Amino acid sequence: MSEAPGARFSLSGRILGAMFVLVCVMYGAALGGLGLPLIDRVRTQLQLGAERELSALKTAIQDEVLLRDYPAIEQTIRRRVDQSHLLQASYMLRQVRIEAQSPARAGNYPAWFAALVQPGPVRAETRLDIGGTSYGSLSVAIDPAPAMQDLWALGKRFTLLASASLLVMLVLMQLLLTRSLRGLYELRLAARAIESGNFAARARLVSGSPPEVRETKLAFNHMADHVGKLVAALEHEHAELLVEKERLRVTFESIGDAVLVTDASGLIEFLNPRAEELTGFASEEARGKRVQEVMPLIEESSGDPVVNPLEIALVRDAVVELDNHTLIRRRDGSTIAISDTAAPIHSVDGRVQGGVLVFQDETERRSLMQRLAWQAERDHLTGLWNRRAMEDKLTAAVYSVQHVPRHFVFCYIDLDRFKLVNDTCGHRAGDALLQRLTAIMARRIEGENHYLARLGGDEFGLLFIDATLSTALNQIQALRDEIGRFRFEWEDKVFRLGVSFGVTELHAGHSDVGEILAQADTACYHAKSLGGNAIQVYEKTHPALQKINDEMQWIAVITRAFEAHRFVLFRQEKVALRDDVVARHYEVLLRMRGEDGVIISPGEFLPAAERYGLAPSFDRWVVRNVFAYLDTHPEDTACYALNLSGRSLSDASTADFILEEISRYHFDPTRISFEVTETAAIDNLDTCERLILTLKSRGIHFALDDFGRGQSSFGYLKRLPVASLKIDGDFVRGLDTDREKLAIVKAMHTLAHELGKETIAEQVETEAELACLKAMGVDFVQGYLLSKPAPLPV
Amino acid sequence: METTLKSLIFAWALFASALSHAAAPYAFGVLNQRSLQATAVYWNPILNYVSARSGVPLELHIGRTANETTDRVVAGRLDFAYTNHLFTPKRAALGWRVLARQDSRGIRGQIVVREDSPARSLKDLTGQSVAFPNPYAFVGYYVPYDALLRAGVRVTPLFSGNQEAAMGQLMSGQVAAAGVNHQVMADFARRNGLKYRVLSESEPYFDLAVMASPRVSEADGEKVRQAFVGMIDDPEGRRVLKAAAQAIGLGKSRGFVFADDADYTNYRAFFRHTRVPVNE
Repeated sequence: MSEAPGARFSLSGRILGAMFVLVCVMYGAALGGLGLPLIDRVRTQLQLGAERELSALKTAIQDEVLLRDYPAIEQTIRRRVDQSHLLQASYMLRQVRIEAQSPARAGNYPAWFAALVQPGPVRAETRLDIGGTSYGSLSVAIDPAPAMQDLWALGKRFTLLASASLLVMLVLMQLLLTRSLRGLYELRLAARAIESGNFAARARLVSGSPPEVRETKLAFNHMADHVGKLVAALEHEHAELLVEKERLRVTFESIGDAVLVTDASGLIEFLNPRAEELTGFASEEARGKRVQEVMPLIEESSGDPVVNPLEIALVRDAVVELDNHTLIRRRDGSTIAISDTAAPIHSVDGRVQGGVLVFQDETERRSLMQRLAWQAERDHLTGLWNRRAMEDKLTAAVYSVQHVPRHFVFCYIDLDRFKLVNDTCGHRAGDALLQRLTAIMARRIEGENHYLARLGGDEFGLLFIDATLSTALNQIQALRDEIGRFRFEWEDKVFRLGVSFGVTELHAGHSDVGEILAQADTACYHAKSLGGNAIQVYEKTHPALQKINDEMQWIAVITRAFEAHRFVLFRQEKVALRDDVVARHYEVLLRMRGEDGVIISPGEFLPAAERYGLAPSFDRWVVRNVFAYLDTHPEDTACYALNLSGRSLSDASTADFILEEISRYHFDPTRISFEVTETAAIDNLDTCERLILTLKSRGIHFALDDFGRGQSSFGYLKRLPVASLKIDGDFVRGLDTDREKLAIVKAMHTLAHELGKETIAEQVETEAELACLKAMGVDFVQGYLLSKPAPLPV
Repeated sequence: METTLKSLIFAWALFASALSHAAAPYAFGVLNQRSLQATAVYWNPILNYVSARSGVPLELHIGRTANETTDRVVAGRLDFAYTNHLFTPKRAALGWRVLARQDSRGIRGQIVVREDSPARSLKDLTGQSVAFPNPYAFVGYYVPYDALLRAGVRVTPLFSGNQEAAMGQLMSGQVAAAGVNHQVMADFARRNGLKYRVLSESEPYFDLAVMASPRVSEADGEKVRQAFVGMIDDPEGRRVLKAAAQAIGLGKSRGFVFADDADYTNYRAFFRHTRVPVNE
């Protein structure tokens, strides 16, 4: 930038220069304003002088002219010329010419002055007419030199006076400025001291300095105070910023996310180590390059280039997230799946200063997500679709059926006697069996129009898409035959499996997936009840299926009763036949009160509840209420046995729930025991074992209910650490007359005692039965003979 | 219109006269009764008129004093003269003839004092200074001084140079009385507001006469006479006379009338009997 004209001149120089120019201008103006009129005046005076001289000479020679005394005239003219400033005087009358001259005086002034003023000889002339007669003419020329000399002297005095005034004024002004500007010099010194880092420097206040300078110094000092504070604050903030910067640097370098920073034009400024690692570029190498050069993005599936989101973010001035299916092509040509977020960096005033791109290596996560997605829909053991995936398919199928004329057939598949494999050969064998069967089924029904899923345990679902019922049944028949021909060998054992199929055809009247599953399940249940390895198509009017269906109706009734608190607790005493048992023992029973107030026996609603998953809720409701009863009725010192359903046994959180509920009350937990059915225990052998062991540690015992009803073997008694066996009522009733029953009960009792477990005979209804049991040495008896169920006295 | 036409004709005549006689105009001397300036202012227009009318070019010539003017007459340097100094015995012998005179009832010699002067008669002037124009003035010196001498009053005569100078000394109190021409005195007193008292007055004498030198031909002399005399009858001549009179402050203009030597017999008689020594 060029310096402004005059910028090199100091303030003093400018003021003095301005004054000098001003005075010179004023001098010139005064000289012009006064001198020119003066010159005119001099000229006028000279002219007047000439006129006066002429008049005087005329007067002087007038008589001589009348007398025609020419010598006298000449004498008078010469005398006049000699005595005055006349350069020349002449009298002319016809042939007579009388003239006198005197040399011009040398003026003591320069020629330029004479040229400037240029008055020249001033002439005056007059005619001598008296009484109408001409006596000739008279002329004079006056010497301007004396007047010029006076004028020159006056000009010199004026100039001298002006020069002297100017000099005095400049000196005084210089003194004044020096004194006044001293304060500014001190301000400058203070400013330079502050500039060099001495923020304590201040302008010294001197008495006698002009108020403007003093006020300026005060303002400067106040500003310096403020600047000092600001600098201190800035230094403090700077230190904090350095710490923050270091923290950010360390963070950038240590965080797992890759960070790329650009300027506002999209040129890279910085890569953190993770970004260097992912892109293959060092930060220094990448600096100044465009983002697309360092981390070219491509679409995962097509390989097409993808516009870098940071460029979009800078253009839109908004946060932009990258599409999930994006790869970065590294410097070495390899690709990495990434996810990233690009955002503009704003300054305080909102302007875009640059952009930041944060991206992560999504390879593992995307792989994990794919695995999770797979797992969410797949059964990990068989690789088939899982229950949820099947439910989704069924939902879509129901929707499709309701809107377009398509045909879907759903088949519920349940393996017969699968537990036998598990029980005899262990779970590994069971798993291997499932995998083999799955492979058979999958191979058999290959094609896009089939959808095979494992719904749980040994249950499978098969959805036929765009297939008629007959077509589906043909395939199901073929599948059953193939499975029937299959022999599963495990170690030295060979198993032959049966499969039960429940089939239902989807139609527009289906309201939801649950209904379809229920129909297929009902049909399958019926097929299984027929002996297994059968195919049952759901028919609404089928009596057996209708019964099963009725159970389903109970679900709504049970749910309403549960919500309306119409469940009540009953108890039935278990009478000890031994003398050493002091405390009384009860079994807690659940009853439902109908909407009309009539008590409904559990045989009516419990199967449906267990079948449709409501049993755990009942179990927990019973636990809470019995525990609360025990806590609020300390006078009741009896022991209570609570029933746990198979679903609760399979729920790993049941133990925690019970322990947490116990912890809320203060009764002795050893007064509590649980009864689990043999079937339920065996179905959930592992979790049941863990539950029993967990609660046993708190003194809570378990009884194996309905022992003998199931198909299990005595081997389970070895694994299940139960304290007692409840002999199923079917064996108890009539044992006094049925020798086989008596033998079985004896065997059970003997075995239990041999294993250190107590025995409880239920459904004792006659004295004869009681006598047999007493003779046998059974520990407890329970039945209508001794005690009928009665409400818990709450 | 007529006046303008006549002025043009007169200007043409004046121009023609100037062309025909440019080489030798006659010298017309005028006796110094007033200052040189006043004399020139009064007489130059008249002479220009007369020259134009008569065809005889005339040029005004004045001496520094009346005596000098008379000396020029005597020396023969003048051709015409307006004077009354040529009636002394010796100068009458020069042969100058009278052509005309101013139309007045004549002039008188007076002894005057300021009105506030204590002098009531000539006797009261005894021993006082009395101003006279010059020792050649007829009614200004010879006539009043003759009266003083005849009255037996001895005074100290002071000669001022001309009539008005003597009156000026009287006015300023430098002299007790002055010998004056009564007509000039009246004009002076009117112009300057001077109040005066006449102690003695002579018989009337015709004023100065326009006289011609013997070397002026009869014809030229007659032309000049006719021109002077005809002025009063010529409007242009009257205008010139009026302007000349106004130029020197005269109350009224006077024309010229025919005159001859017989009109000035009393002059010659006075000089034969006067007690005042005649300066010739």
